[in-house]
Amino acid sequence: MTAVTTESRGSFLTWLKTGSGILTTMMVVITIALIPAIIQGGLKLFLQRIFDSLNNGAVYAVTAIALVIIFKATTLINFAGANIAMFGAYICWWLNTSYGVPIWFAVFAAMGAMAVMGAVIERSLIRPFDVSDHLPVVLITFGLAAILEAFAGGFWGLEFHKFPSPFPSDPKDRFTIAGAFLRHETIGTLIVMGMMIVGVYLLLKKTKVGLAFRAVSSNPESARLVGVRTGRTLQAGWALASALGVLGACLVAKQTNLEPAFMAKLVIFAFAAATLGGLDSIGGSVIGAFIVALVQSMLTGYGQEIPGFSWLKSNFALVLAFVLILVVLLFKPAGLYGTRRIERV
Amino acid sequence: MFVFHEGTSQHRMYQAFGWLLLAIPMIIAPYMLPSFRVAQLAQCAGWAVAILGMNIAIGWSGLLSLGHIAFCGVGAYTTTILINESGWEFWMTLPLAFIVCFIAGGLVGLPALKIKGLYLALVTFSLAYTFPILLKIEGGGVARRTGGDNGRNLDEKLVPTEWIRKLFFVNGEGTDESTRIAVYKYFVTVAIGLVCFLIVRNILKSRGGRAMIALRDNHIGAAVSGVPLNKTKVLTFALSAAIAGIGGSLIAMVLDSVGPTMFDANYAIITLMGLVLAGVGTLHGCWLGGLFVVFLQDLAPRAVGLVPFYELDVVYARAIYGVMLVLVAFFMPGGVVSFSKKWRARLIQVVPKLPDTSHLPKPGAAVTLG
Amino acid sequence: MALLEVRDITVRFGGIVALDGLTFDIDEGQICGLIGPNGAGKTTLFNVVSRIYDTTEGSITYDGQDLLSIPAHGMSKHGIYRTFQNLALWPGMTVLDNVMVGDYSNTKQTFFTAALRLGTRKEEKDLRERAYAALEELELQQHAFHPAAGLPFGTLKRIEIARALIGKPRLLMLDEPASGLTHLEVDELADTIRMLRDRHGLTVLLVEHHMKMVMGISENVVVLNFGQKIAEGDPNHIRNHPAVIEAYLGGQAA
Repeated sequence: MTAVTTESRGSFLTWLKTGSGILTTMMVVITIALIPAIIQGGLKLFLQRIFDSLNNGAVYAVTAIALVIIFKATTLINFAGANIAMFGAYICWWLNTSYGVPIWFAVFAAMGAMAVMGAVIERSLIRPFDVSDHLPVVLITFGLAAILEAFAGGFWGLEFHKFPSPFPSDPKDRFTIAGAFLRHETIGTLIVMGMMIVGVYLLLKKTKVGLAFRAVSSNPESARLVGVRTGRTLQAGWALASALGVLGACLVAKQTNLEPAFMAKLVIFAFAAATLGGLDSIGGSVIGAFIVALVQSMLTGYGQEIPGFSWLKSNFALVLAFVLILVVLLFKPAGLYGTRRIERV
Repeated sequence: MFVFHEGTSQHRMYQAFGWLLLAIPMIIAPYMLPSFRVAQLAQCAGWAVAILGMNIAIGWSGLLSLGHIAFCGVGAYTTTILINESGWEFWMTLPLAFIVCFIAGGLVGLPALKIKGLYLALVTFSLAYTFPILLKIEGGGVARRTGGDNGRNLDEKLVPTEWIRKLFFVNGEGTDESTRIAVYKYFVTVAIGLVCFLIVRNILKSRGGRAMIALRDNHIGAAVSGVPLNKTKVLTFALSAAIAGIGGSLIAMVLDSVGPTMFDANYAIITLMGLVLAGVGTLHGCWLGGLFVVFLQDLAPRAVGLVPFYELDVVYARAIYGVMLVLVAFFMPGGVVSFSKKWRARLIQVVPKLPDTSHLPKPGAAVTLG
Repeated sequence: MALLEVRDITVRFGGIVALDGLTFDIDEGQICGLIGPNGAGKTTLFNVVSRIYDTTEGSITYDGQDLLSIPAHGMSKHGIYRTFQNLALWPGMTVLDNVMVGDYSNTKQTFFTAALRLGTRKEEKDLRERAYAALEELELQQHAFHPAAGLPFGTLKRIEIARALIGKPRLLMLDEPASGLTHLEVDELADTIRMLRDRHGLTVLLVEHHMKMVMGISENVVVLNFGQKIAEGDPNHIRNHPAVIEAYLGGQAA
């Protein structure tokens, strides 16, 4: 007992260096930085900014989870993920507008289609390579991204398309909290994200497939030796990730509109979210997603109002997020909640 | 099969022959081609230097960076701004571009110490993505100096001086002034490229170069041999950024302009493809890489015209890139240079000269404990 | 006089105690064998002494200095070199280059001087010659210009020794040098180690499974089991030590 009390000071410092510690510090700094803005703009505006960020945060989170699943399984990064999702959103839009398929059916159909595509990609383009050799994967996934973007443009044109909202999206569909509007769409997006996280969690923790998946991600060799079919499992991971990516794309497409590069423009925020939270941590990347979205929303919302900072734009959030990531990675090389693998000699 | 013994006169002749084989087309080409092709070749040389820089990080140090395009951009903009705002000469901007990029590379390289593999690729790709945005920041006069979305033209173009005109264009070759300028720029780029090439070659053959590769292939082995991991990594990253920056400066000089779309994520991938096609971790490949970067862009839209199915537009040019990226990964992981090396190894063998150890203390003559 | 003093070293991996209060000395010029069943903590100790693993408990003193304050890459400056059980060579480099890296801490070229070739030629030539001489000493000169990839395991192990040797080590640590070698090679290796010790005045720390070899060349043997030292002494003493016999045979001897 005495040891615990005497170390309490030291343990606070230790805690400060953990993911949660850095996170808390970050939040405190952000809040302090915002105090003048809140005083100036009032609580209503502040709440509105937070509500705005929730929607983006949820979308970034879904996209980041897709990234994390593939990274956890294979330690690879799928740079084509964004465009697989984009293609799925196009399929969804096409089914809905050309054939009148109800929006949610169209979403699920598109998720299914892209899951198959993900599985095919894993089998034909990724598995032939050694996982420790990273360059081919970078080339192939970037190549795929280019191909998908070109074909989406070729099939459906380069112009913007309006995407049907999967949630009630009339301007009147909203709650009013302390004068700030919380749109039903935002709540819907959050609910879908929550369900998705629970779903992925249950899948990984409670099912046999999930067990196989965790086994493969922690040690592929041993998993293979005890009879886990590693290839199949990785394929399932790619399929799942692709489907989730499509879901994320469908959730956001209403706001951004469809065009071949719409996800590629957005995925960089998901990258930032995942790097910040830890590429092998689903929970971490969700937290990272909301931080990035919050920073973005606050910069867009308040930037103009801080004297001398009128040049702050929403795009600049990416710059700030990038700097933030570099700093976090200096202290936590695996991200806030990522785990470091011990190296064997 | 030819066998050469290192250090003999035959070997020296063989080496000279190899250099001539490379040099003659490089010297003759600008005089034979139309001026826009010469300008393209000059761009190639600029990109070759950029790829040389990337190769230090990706090829020899194993740091998979997709963000070097940003350092190219930093170099290009440093040169542009110094020429336009401070009235510097192009030559004088090069050392400063080198230093600025060296520092920028070191700063990005610091976190790169600890993050590995594709994690690093992701972070550096974000850098490539962020760089064009940075240029457009309106605060602090950034956008004014960089020209924001529109980019900037160089106020002072590089033109050949009198004595160079007398030396190179004596017999009325290239009477057209634009051709003369193109040819001149080509030789300037190639010459500076050559200097960079020699610098990198010297480093690779030295203690630092061996340490770099040792670190890439087995960092624990490197550490027990005394290689300081952090210092070496940051230095190599900074050096590669600096060389890439020189590449950027050269490109800006050749094109007489800079713009945010020249140094964006798209180009990060194109240059990476150029690097891989030419040969990762090979010195001579870099020159080829430059050719690929420029001429693939020229050819891909045309190739689309050959695909008969759709009446297609440039949209599908991207698909061709994509297919090429995939094909390269599958069929040419070693790039063109690995093919040529394989063939050379079949034809020519160089027997290395044995080091002379006769003056060193013989084993057994050393200290013996009682 | 003790060159290396290991005091109360404890290493934990999560809940597992890999080394538990380990204490022993290695005298200058001695060949010290470190043995023990699989998982006894031998390699862990090795990694602690070569600073690849960190520990907060215990101390290691080398030649009067606190070893745990020196970073891994600083070991070679103090004359501590090691080899690896599963090799840590660079397959793409030639054997000669592999050995040349071994003298990193005693050479002085920098990126800058190398880039401009400022007086680096002499050092480079000298380094090359010494690397070749180290290969000659281990009878590896015929492989000098061959890439390390594709050479037999036994040869690669000797290349690692040559790489350590070129840095003029005082303490040479060999991690299971005999594993994967044929009987003939093991006998040769024992002779080589003894010869190198005599010629270069080395102190050798040897982790080994091959009993015959350890007992044949060591002057002092430390036996580990479950992270603890169970016996220490000369080979004859160890051979008859009841705890050692029990650890190895798993018998119920008292």
